[in-house]
Amino acid sequence: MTQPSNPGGKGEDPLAALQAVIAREKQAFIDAKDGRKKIGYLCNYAPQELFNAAGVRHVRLFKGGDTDVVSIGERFTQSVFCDFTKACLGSFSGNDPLYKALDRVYAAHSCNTIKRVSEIINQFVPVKLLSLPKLRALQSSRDFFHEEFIDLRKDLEKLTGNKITDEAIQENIVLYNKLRHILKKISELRKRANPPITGAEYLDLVTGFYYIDPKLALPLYEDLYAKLAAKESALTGERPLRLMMAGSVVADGDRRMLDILEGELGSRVVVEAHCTGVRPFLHSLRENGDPLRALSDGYLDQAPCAKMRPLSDSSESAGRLAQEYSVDGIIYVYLKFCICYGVGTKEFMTHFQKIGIPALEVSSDYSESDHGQIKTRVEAFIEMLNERKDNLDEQYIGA
Amino acid sequence: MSNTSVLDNVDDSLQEESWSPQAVERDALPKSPGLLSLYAIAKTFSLDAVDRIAKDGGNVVWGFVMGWSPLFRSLGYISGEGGLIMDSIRLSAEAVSAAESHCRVPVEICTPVKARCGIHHLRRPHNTIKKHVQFAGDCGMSDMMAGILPLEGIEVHTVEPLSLLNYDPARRPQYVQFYVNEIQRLAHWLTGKPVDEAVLAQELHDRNLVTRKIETILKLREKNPYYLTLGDVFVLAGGSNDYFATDNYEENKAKYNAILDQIIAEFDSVPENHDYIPLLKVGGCPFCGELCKVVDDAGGAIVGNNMVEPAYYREDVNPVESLAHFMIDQQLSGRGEDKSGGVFTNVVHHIEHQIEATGAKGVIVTGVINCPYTSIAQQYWQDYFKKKGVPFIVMLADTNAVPTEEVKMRLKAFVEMLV
Repeated sequence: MTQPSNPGGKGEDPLAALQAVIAREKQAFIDAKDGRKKIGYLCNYAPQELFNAAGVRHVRLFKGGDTDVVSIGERFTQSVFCDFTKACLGSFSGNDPLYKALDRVYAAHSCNTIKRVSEIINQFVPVKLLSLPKLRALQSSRDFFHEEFIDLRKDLEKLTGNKITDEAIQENIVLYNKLRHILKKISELRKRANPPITGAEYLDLVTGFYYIDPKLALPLYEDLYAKLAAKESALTGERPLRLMMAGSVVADGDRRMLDILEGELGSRVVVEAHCTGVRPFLHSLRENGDPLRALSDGYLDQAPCAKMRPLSDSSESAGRLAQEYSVDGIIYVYLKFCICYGVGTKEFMTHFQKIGIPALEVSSDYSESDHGQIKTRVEAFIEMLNERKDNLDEQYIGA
Repeated sequence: MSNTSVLDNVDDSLQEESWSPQAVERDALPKSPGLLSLYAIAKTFSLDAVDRIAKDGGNVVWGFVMGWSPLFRSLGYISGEGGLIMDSIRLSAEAVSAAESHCRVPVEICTPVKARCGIHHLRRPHNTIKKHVQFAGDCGMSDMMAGILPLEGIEVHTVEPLSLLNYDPARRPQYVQFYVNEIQRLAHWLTGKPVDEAVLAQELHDRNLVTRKIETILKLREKNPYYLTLGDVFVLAGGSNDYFATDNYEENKAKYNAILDQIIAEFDSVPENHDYIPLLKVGGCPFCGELCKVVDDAGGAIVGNNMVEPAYYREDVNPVESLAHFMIDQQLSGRGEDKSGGVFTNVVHHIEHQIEATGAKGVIVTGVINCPYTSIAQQYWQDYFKKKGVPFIVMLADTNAVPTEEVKMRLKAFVEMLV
């Protein structure tokens, strides 16, 4: 397992405390019987601000990593589907209490897999699937996405019986901007030569973002930031290898690659170019003007996933992150049958090569059967990076 | 690179001898002169032919948008995709290898997409067709393949899709306007000008005339489905996109129409045959001609499918809006499945309607191996028809496969079970 960094030093580990809050909030979501509607959403293009303004309880549906749940999902997909979506279907079909508690699911048509899976989920829980434009620079696409959000607002009002005011949306934009900002700031602490938090720990923080009530989450993150920022930043001993993880979604419950990279091989993931790492926190929404327009524009303007066009937007965005965080190398991981990141591999790898950052492509799933093979490949890559790093460090010291 | 034609993998099956009483009767039928003429013009529509057009400075583009071929023609463009797809089947081993090694397409991706990707890579040194139109509602693999085409020196235009799972009739004007914008944007990209509405209106009208004839032929097939197999129907319907025309558009359009008239007339003298097990075929078809033959051999006949269903362009509205309506209706019907970005769960209603209309006794669900989208749809359809008590069988194959003995045995057993 990944070694925790214990950012608080002595006393209670705030990360462990955060995990306890996440577990509590998940259970509260399941148990709540106060009449508030419970909704789940797939993908980062579904607007939490609007859900929160509607007064619903909301969680992102991104549990994964359990092969037993995957096998339940295969009842609907056969084996030729990515494990993430199979796990999602398995959670519905296998009566996962979190998924069973839902009144409605919202999804954005990011990849075709999500679109198809949405049609199947519709058999368990009513689904609303948003059209998601792929050309965010196009005004007509932006206008249509705005219309989709107007429709979504009406749908939520119908579901809850609550009117969603502009003021409520505005308040939530401000609140979520603060959350995104603090999570970005925490991530930026990883720019230090001695990052105060591991990649696995950062993903736990991100997990909290999707499960914890935002008003409760904000002070927790602010407190955590203060503790992490105060932590000794000077590097003692050898600098750990700095890596970026890019590619497919890393589910809540899938820490396989991180366990190898950080736990077994001692490197440090300092930044992520996937949708459950720092990527969703890179942008801020406008806090003035029409709040619904600010929402639709802001969500399109977030760091793009591979489904957006041109594909080079995604690879360049990932490349910028890698440079900004001064990584030694990139692990480009995609789930088998993740069409977006699988077929898109060449674009990403070509770009990483162009900017001079070594990258390793790894295709994986949730099973343990290829653990040894993946570890061997990653180990060889890390050895190569370590040699390169030592050479660079020597050159730097000698300069 | 290749001299293969659209028909090479379809009409071979007609040359073999069969053994069942139904197939013997089928083979004893006179060969349709209209069909032979159809095959003759279809063979002229090849990748080589569109390459020649492009080399001579003609307008050729890769990719297509399902149902929008009249638009491409009204803009003076030919889509090379038909030729490319069929060549990709022929060249799959070489092209798949190129896709996996040079384009880094994962091994688990389906063969048709890998082959198409590989062909673009292999053609790169001498490729003269530099534009590709991609409907982003198309299957995810095709869409992602288009995403990496710029690395092969091809400029890609993306047509935005709608997702209509939660179709709201009150929003239809918004949906129409959305696709109108996309149509005009595509026209500007290809020609620098808006759509010429008069030309498009004529194309839509001509297409409707053709569709009416195809609908008549589909109805006439009930008289004797062995005279015109489902494989033939696919070729016939495929021709309605471009009339198999490269540089001889108006001429081929007239020829194609004459062939349809001829086939309709031929049915006057075709002996009636109702001694077969009527079946439906649902899903993509990697070996359609061969599959039909195996079904025939076992005493069945495929009388309907979800891919070729007559659908008309509205002529009572502006032609650009008509194309938009057409796309929306395609998506809602689930017709064409991913090719139209359709709602696949809606296909069952279409199948149910066809079962009622044709008296089909079973459903053959077909698809390409390793297609995740097919896999999820198949399971849904299976579950649905199981509940309804409709017998079905699932047949998966690679694109360049011919039916193995195992496939033949399974199909025969399925048909025999229905007797």
